[in-house]
Amino acid sequence: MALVQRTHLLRLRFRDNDLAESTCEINLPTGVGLSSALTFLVSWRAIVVQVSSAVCIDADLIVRYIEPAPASAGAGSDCLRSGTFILNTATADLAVVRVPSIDAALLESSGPYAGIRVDQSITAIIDFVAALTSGIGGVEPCDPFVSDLVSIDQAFREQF
Amino acid sequence: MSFVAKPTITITFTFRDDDGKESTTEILLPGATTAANAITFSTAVRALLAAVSDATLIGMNILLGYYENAIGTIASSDVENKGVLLFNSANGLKSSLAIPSVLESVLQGNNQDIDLANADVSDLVDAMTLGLSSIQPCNGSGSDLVGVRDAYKQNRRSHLSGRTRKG
Repeated sequence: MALVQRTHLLRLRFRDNDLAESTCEINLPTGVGLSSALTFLVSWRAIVVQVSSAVCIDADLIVRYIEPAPASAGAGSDCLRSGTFILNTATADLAVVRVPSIDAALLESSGPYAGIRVDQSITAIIDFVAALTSGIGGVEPCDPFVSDLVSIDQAFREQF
Repeated sequence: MSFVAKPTITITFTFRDDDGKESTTEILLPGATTAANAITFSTAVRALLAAVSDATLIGMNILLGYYENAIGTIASSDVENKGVLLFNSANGLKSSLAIPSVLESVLQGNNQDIDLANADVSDLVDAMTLGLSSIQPCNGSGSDLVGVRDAYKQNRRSHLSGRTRKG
């Protein structure tokens, strides 16, 4: 199935002196280029803050895609069980990426961690981890401090 | 205080399981990544994620933005007092914009209706209905906003999510 793009969402987040927060949102057509949308976001924010007494602390452009006709989820799939991939970063920290309802067939099938630890010899896992640690097309994921993800530390299934 | 680009781009993937429960996962990219490259990467990773989950991937968002890196003292304000602008759209539907903590000074004498003749309000309405630099906002179905139907102050709950207000 192909994802279909929805309107771009522009969101401003405001904070008041009680530290309560609230957002306001508008849509832009999908045909608007992303750099133009970011330029619009900055200009629009400058206009909106003129009529608010709170402080605008965040301005986001959200590019959205939805699956209009999703396939059926696998029998027994469970979003409360995720595959937790703990990765080493370039600054010797750890970062986490979780995969909702990781396929049980990708877990080790024998040994003390059977049904718990992700089998890192399976091609689908190798490809996914490589995308996280080596990137795709020169684009590499990072942690919140913009430190590259460099290697897998542990990967296991976790129940929430 | 200064408004600066966020250090990272956040890609969020949403999954749904066979009970209808939904869950998301996020992958971050450096903020210096171009938007086009972020979309290309997201599309490629989406396929890899789908291959390791038995839930169905139903959506993908890519968030780019700016944030205030040093928030100073905030003047008396209340984000639950919204300035609501209700717009007519070209497709005949209505679309609203709710501005948190609308200034009292842009309200009319009844302290309820927004003064559309106020210069700052007028600038905002023009931005919404005429656009800025040839870019015009739309409603969720992509239809242009063409005019203001109503503008008033309304009290709505904020996104306090678990915290209690002071006072």
